[in-house]
Formats: sequence, structure tokens, C-alpha cells
Amino acid sequence: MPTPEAQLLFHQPIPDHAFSQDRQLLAVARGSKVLLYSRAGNEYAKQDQELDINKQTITSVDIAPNSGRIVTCSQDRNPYVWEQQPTGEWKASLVLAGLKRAGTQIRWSPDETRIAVGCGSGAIAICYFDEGNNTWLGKHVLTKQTYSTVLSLAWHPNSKILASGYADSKTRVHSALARGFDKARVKKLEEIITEWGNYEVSTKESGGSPVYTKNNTVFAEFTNPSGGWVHAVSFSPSGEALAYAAHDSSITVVYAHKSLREEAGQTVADFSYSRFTVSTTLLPFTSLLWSREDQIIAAGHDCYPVIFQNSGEGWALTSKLNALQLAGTGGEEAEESAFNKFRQMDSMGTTSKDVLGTIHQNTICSLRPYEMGPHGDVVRFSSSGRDGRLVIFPVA
Amino acid sequence: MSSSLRPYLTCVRSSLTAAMSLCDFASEVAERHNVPEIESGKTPEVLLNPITIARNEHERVLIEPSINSIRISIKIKQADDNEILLVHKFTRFLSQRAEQFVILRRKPVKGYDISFLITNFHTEQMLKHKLVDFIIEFMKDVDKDISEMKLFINTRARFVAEAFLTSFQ
Amino acid sequence: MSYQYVNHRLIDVDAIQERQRKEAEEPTAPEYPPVALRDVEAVRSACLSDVQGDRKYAALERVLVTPPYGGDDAAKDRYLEIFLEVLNSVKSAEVDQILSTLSQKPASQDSPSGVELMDVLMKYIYKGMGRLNNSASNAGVASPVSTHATGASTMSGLVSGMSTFGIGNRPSKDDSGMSVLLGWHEKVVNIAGHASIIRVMTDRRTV
Repeated sequence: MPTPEAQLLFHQPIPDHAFSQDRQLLAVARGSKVLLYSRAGNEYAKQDQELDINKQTITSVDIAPNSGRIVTCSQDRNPYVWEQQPTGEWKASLVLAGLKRAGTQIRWSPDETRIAVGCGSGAIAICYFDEGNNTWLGKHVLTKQTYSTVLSLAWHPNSKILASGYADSKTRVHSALARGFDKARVKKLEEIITEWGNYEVSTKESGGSPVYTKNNTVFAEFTNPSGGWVHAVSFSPSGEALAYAAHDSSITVVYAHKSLREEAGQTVADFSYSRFTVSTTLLPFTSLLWSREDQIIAAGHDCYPVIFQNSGEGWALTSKLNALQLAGTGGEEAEESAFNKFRQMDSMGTTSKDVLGTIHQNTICSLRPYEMGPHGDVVRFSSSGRDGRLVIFPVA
Repeated sequence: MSSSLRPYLTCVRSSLTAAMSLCDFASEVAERHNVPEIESGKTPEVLLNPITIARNEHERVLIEPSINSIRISIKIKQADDNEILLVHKFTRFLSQRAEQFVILRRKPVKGYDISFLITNFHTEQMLKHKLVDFIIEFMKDVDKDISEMKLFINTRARFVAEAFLTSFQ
Repeated sequence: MSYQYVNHRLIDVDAIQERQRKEAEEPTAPEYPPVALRDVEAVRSACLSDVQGDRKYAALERVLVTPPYGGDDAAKDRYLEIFLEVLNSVKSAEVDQILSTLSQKPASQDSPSGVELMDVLMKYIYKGMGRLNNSASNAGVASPVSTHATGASTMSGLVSGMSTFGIGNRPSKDDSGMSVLLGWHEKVVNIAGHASIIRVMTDRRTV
């Protein structure tokens, strides 16, 4: 059984990290910079080059799998796209996203044509490359004043739907098409009906062909009864299910059901959503990763990843990757805990542990798939934490 | 020490561990700012329900959690006027040197003797379980210190009284 | 010069900006129907008969299944009293048994699962401890000497030992109201983990 591969990069939090497709390049956010590491032997070695243009804490970083372009967003509101020049140098270009507050999370769409940035003002900017002006431009979607900070967002595999989690404990699934940019894209009416909801379209404006009427098309909205900020959202590999992790220490999996019917000669779709919430006994999760269609990996304030599995009857927490995986210490551990028990009776409930019994010594901030198996399953995944560690776990 | 201290501290410990699940959060109200939300109080949705842990009427802890900071306020046991005075002087001494204690708040929350403010930056620099240990240690020690000081006062008062009254012998 | 008289330190600069604050200021709790005091009394008498008939688990479950989320303060306080009565009737040796039964209860049509009931239990435990705080701190801030009279008067007879506290006295050992709650708290955390505390903090539905 393979053991996790841990590397202490520096003594500072890593809010986010990303790998290139071939895993040779690792981008790590550190303070207001992004550090680049390249694979050398069994670990990652720091490159001399740093992506240093943001003025405040970088909250999120992402690498496009095919083009290799890096995007960053920061609390100073400015997202950047970094492109590697033939000389090897990285060149930044500002994304004119028009964010009014901090950027919270930035992600490439799976087709790599656009970037989604979440913002502290509650807006989400969909950014795309404008050939005419040779710049990246952003269009805001979901700009209602009542929305709270976007804490997390995730693309649907079809690059047309986004899910986002908010600080007011709401999770929304909504259109990722921006008016103006995506006007020409609607050709058939069938395109309006997605797996998660219908786009609002109008045929009035353009005289016949349907056009998206607004940027605020919310397909569905979910809130947990026990509240909690939504720290992470993620679509399953097929896009049929959405998972979100809220601050009430739960993860929720939502399935969308579509039923088509004929109405006045047109196909109309009705949607219903079924939810499964798993309330755990642990501290809240901050990151989610689908390893395959029936398995989710979550990690957060408990400093170790846990695995949720759908056994067919529903979702349940099946295993915790918390042990340091030292073989043959079972007996010793049991002995120690009995000893501790007696000692703690005397020590007013204090524990004298200097080191936690987990690899990460502080909250895990982000999970990323590291290695894919032959069937598209995640075989290994990586986690980065506030303790400055990067750990590559095998999916047990 | 009394047997009810252990469950009290255990309760504070687990409550703190739960409440200290903080993350980095930039202000929604002021651009390019990052402030402890529990202190600014301008974004209600990132504040959570405050919780109180009480051992009895005189000893309790208030925990006010938010997304990037928590405020912990402690009411220290004060059984008589001597202790009221001592606790006041002692906590004032500490609060005036707040920057040396990093997580200490300069002013206690109303109704409490001493307050701590822990932000996500503290939990990033310091180990979270060590911060919890520190608060628990503090709560244990402060009771001990106060009763020790009280004993000193009594001893000194007796000594002074003796010295003063011997002149009238 | 009038500007000299403006206290610049008191100007809220964050309020002066292009973006108006959101309309939905308060994180609103979901709507729940109001709770009539008559219903509370019905729950109370049912619970008391359960307790007298030594069906303590049934009594506890009855309190937890119908939390007064929509009730006003009076109804909520009354519920808390019922809860404390039930809690005080349970001997500490029986707590583990009751909690393990409760935590394993599956969800049924008219009652939520054991996990949710444990969360409600935790809410009551914290409310029980916070109640002492509220009554004591209001008076305590203004004048420490008057703490005890006001503090005790709003507490029901459950912790009546409190009224014997005086400023010159050692705190009475009769803080059983709290030590019972602390004992339960520890046992609930052992079973339901830190998440039960987390959910007390995140849940906008208060008891």
C-alpha cells in the first residue's frame, strides 16, 4: 500500500495550489506571490521565477490543463492570466474583470475558453479573451445586491453551468453564459435546456433566434437547515451530481432530475432536485474532490482527508486518511491512550501533545486531483494546508 | 482544586476547538481590507451565534465566533471585594500590555474581565491546539494567581498591622 | 468653523461609498409557526408524566422533537425549563445509555434522526448555560453588588441555590444546574463530536 508523499514547502499558509497536466509544474500561492516548483526526483524543487504582481494575499490559483496558462486572483481585486513565453519567462496580463471586492476563487472552464472569478461583492465574473482588444474581459453574472461573498465556485464539465457557494449559506447552480459574449451561441432550442435547468431566452430582441435575456439565470438554490457558509462546491465527473461542503460540518450531494414534456408544440423541461446531506461528527470541511462518480474526498479543519462513498443506499463517511500509516503501532497506541486517559483525569483536560497525529499540522485549504487512473478515477490527490505542507495521498 | 473545574475546562476546550475553525476572509464592506469580522460586525451573515459556557454565576466564558476571527471573554471568579479589586488590577495590567500577548484584546467585552481576539492570521502562525491550550492554561493559572495574591495581601496586612500596633504597646 | 466640531473619529467611512449595503441585512432564520403557551404546557405535562413513570428517554425525546423555533422568548424559556427538569431527573449513570439510544435513533416520518436531536440537545445545553449569563450580566455590568438578586429572580426554582450567593460569601457549591449541563456537554461531544458545537453556532434556528 503506497504511503502519502509529504513535503514541507515553507512555513506559511498555502491557500491554493495547482498542477500542470503532466504534473511537472506546481504553482503554489504564498502571500502575495505565486511560487513555481518543478518536479525533481521525489519532490518538488523551487524555481527561481516567481509570479509576483498582485499586491495582496493571493486567494486562488489555477492552471489550464492544455494551454498551461496560470490564472491568479487576490484580495487586491485584480485577477491575472500568466502565459509562458518561448523564453521560459512568465508574462502577466490583467483581466479586466471589474471586481469591486476581493477575488475569492478563480477557475478555468473545462474547455479553457473562459475563467470564472468569485468576488467578495457577491458577483461572479465570467472572463473571456477579447480578440479585438487583445485583452481578457469580464462580464458579471449574478450581480444581485443581496448576494453575499462567493466563497467557492465550480464549473460543470460542459463549461456552461457554474455552481457557487456563498457566505450567506446558499449554494446556487446557475448559468455561466454571459450576455453579449454568448449571444451567438444559442442555435437550437434544445441548447436552452441543460442538465440543471432552463436558460431564460427571448426571441423578441433579435427577431426570431433566441437570445439569453439576462445574466442572472439561477437554476437552483440550496440551503442547509443548520446553515453554515458554503466553503466548497464541486460537480461530479459526469456533471449529474453536485456536492457542497458547508460550515455545519456536513457535505450535501444534490442530484438533478429532468423530465421533458410537450407544451404548445414546444419541449419544456421540469426539474426536481434530490438532496442527501451527511452530517459528520468532525470539524467543517473546506475542500471537496470527486474521485469518481460514487466517491468524494473532503478535507478541512480536521487536518486530514476523509472519504465519502455512495454505497447505493446513500452517502456515508467511510474512511479517514488520518493515520500516519505506521505499521504495527496498534498495540502501542492503545496502551498510550489508556495511559493518557488516567493522566488526563488529573490534568484538567489538557493534552500535552506538541504534534498532531496527522500529516498536516493545520487546516487543509485545497484538494486537487494528482493522478488519474485508467477509467478516469482519481488514484492520487494532493492537499495543501495552512502549515505550508503539500501532501500527495493515494486514494485508499 | 474542585471537581467541577475539569468538566468546565473540558467544555471550554471543545467549544474553542470548534469555534476556532477560521478562514481568510476579506471584507465585504470595505474594498482591499481584511478586518476581524467579529469586531467590525458589519457583515451579519459571517457572524455565528455566540455561546456561553458557565461553571456558575461567577465564572463563565463567552465565545463569539465569526468567519475569520473569534472573541473569547472570560469572567474570572470574584468571591469578595478583595478579589474584585485584584482581578481588576491584574486584568488591567495585562490588557495594557496587550501587544505582547498577541491574542489579547485591549479592552474586555462588557460584563467580562478579560477578552482575547483570535484571528485567522493567529491560527496560521500558531498551532490551533496550542492556542486552545494557552487559553485553558490561562484560565487555570489566573484563579491560582488571584488566590495567591489574596494570601499575600492578607499576610502583608497582618504584618503591617502588627508593626503599626507594636508602637502602642 | 463648524468642521472643528465634527468628531471625525466617529464618521463611519465604510458607510459612505458607491455600493449601498444589501437589503437583506440579517441572516433570517427560516419561518416557523409561533408556539402557543398552551402547547408548551401540554408538552410539559406529558414530559412530567414520562419522568414520573421512569420513562426518561421518552421525556427527553419529547422535548427535543418539538423545538420551539418559532416561539417567542417566553415560550422558549418555558421550554428550557422543561428541558432542565428532564435533564435533572436523569441520574448521571443513566446518561450514557440515554445518549447512545438517542444518537442511534433513525429518522422517521414525524421525527428527525438522532443526529439532529443531538444537535437540538446541544442547543439547549448552551442555552441553559447562557441563560445564567444573560440574567447576570445585565445587572452585573451596572453594579456588581446587585447581581445576585436580579440574577436569581429570573431563574426558575431549578437553580434556586443561586439566590443564596452573596458578595462576601464564597460561591455556593450549589451550582448543580451548571455541573449537570457540563456533564451532559462532555458526553454529547464524546458521541456527536465537535460538529454538534459547530452546528449550535451556525444554526439560525434557535431554541
